[in-house]
Amino acid sequence: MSADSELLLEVEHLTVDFPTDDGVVHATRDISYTLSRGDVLGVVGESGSGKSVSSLAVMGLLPPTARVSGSAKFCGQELLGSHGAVKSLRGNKLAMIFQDPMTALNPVYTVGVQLREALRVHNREMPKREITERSIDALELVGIPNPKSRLESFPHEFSGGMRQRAMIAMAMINDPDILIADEPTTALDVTVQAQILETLERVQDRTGAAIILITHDLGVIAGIAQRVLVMYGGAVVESGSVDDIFYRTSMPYTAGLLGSMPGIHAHGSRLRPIPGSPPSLIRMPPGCSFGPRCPMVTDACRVDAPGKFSLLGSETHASACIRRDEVLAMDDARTMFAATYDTEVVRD
Amino acid sequence: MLRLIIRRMLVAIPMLLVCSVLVFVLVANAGDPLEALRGRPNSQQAIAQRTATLHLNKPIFERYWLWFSKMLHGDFGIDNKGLRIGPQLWRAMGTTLQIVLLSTILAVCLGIAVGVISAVRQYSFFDYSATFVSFLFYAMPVFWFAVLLKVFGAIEFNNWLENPGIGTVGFLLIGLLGAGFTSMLFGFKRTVSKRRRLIAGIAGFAGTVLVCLLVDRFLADRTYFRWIGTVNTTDPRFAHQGFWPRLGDHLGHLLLPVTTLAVISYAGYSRFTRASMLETLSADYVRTARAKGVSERAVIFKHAFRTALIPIVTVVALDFGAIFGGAIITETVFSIQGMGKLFREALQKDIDPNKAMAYLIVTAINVVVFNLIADIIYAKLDPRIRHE
Repeated sequence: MSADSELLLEVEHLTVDFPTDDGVVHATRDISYTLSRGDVLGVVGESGSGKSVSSLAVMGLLPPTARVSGSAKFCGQELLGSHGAVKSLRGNKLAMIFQDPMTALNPVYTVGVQLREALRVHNREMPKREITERSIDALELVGIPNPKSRLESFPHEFSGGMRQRAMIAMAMINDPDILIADEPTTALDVTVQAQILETLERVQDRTGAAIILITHDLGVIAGIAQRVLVMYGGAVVESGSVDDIFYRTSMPYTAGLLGSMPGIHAHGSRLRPIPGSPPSLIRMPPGCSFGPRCPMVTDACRVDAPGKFSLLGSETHASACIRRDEVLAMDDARTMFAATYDTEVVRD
Repeated sequence: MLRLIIRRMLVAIPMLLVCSVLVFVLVANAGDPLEALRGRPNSQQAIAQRTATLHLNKPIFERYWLWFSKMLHGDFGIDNKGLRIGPQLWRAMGTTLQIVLLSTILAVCLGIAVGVISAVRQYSFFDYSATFVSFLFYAMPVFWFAVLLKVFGAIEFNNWLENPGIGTVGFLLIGLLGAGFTSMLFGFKRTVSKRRRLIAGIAGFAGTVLVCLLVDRFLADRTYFRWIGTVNTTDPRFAHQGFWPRLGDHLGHLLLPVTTLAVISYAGYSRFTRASMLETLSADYVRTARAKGVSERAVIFKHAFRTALIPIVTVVALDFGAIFGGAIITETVFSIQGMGKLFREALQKDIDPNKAMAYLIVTAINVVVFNLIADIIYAKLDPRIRHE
């Protein structure tokens, strides 16, 4: 979409490990992507696929036990490792909102106090009146009625949707270049979800910030994102434009995700869930991590060879599947899971 | 907020009424106040007199009302010896209050500080040491700890003061403590390497030993007064001296009982603070604060600690009310003329109903009042309650 516009974020070979008593958890492996101004990048995958961890790593919000390697550059500035860079950018150039707005706001401070704090930590000299004005503007931007009086409300006096709006307002108050939204609609009602997505879109229109939208809901991605990363087992398995992912699927896992999504057109037909469950991030299967659940698995998929399962294809559409051309050639890749529906479920 | 306070106070009134009935009925059935008099020769007159003062020949309802209506005016009646209870009670309360207040302040300050650091540096050397010390204090029986303090903190220490000197073992021990302290202080940040911590420890050891040497030289060939008191809260020898010597004497006497009570409360508070802080430190809103770019110090104090404080303050307020009537063991070991002593006196040999009831009702009022205070503070700190 905006391939030639300004490059904001450049993530290369991002790998996050957590040493635990049971072994090392490979939360994310070798993730690379870029984000330009105005982009909306969707990151999809099921729970435990490393979606959140990869963005928490970029924000420097992982617990100190995490081992992070690779690089993440914001406008050429390295964020990982060097604590200084990400600390001054966090909340200022890079903002983040979280899944559960019920718990993400501090219950003992008013929304106004928390909004003003977000502004003040990055603008020490700003006069009080201006801070209040900008707080009111921020609440107005996200569509909270009576923003002035609402500043004095406590989070528990807000509904879930309002709290998430307040979170967005808090994230956007410093005009960040990048907004990372980690499952912003998961904890909300469907009708409220739509409103929040609308709010995100409006906010992006106004400020031009790039958005990384993390979700497990492909419907959300289809509505708002331009580019998509599909993650599985801590790695990116397919990336491309929304059309690439939805209509030119070239990875069986993506096809499986699409097949498990209810839709109006598929009315009356059964959903085709992916059999099995995601791999343990401590003991990954050899070869392709999706291999044990894949209907198209071959012996070649089970051979571990470095580099073989990294993303291949064009820069705009890439897949980690070695049989991507066959998947791409299928009329409806989703149907590949129909056969396995009643067969024995493969578990790792 | 005001409505909440009034509502809670209105709830407290029937509670206190029930308390007074319970206290009266239970004490009335606790023993025979005339028993000790019966065995004596010519007891007729004494029995008749005590029966008259305690209204024992009247029905229990009337007795209750006589006691209750007098108490409302602050009159607790007279005890078995014929002395007025009111002044005794106020004096005992004053003494106990001093000890309980000082020990609570000490325990709260130390307990919260250690608890917060333990939580922020979870599983660090500091955390493990603090946990060990807390459990040690928690598990220690009060009477035993008080006696140990008396022997080593007072008698041995006072003996030592008569001819002070540190000695080689003292040098080593204090030096090691200093080493541990400096390396901990210096290595407080996780990023500090082990080697630098070690260097800090060695420097701390050297520094402490040096200070000890100086102190040792200073102490040598002097004799000091036996300063730490083990019995009562004042020494009659100081009764006619000036303000400062009297204050010094008083503090010397308060030191051990206050330490005893503080150490036990400290153990609880530090564990409680640690648990509360660990919970808030992993809360989502703390992550939000970090994501906003708030400094780590502000994250810990403004976001995590402020919320963690809510249950801590409540527990402290409740404890204060309870400990006020319950420091009986400590008061006994240190022979302090406080509330505990009063209660024990009331129950010895023949029961002294008016005294026992005075103690019980005052303790009950205390617990109820501090419950009320805990409620109010809770509402003050937590907006979710305030707007209920």
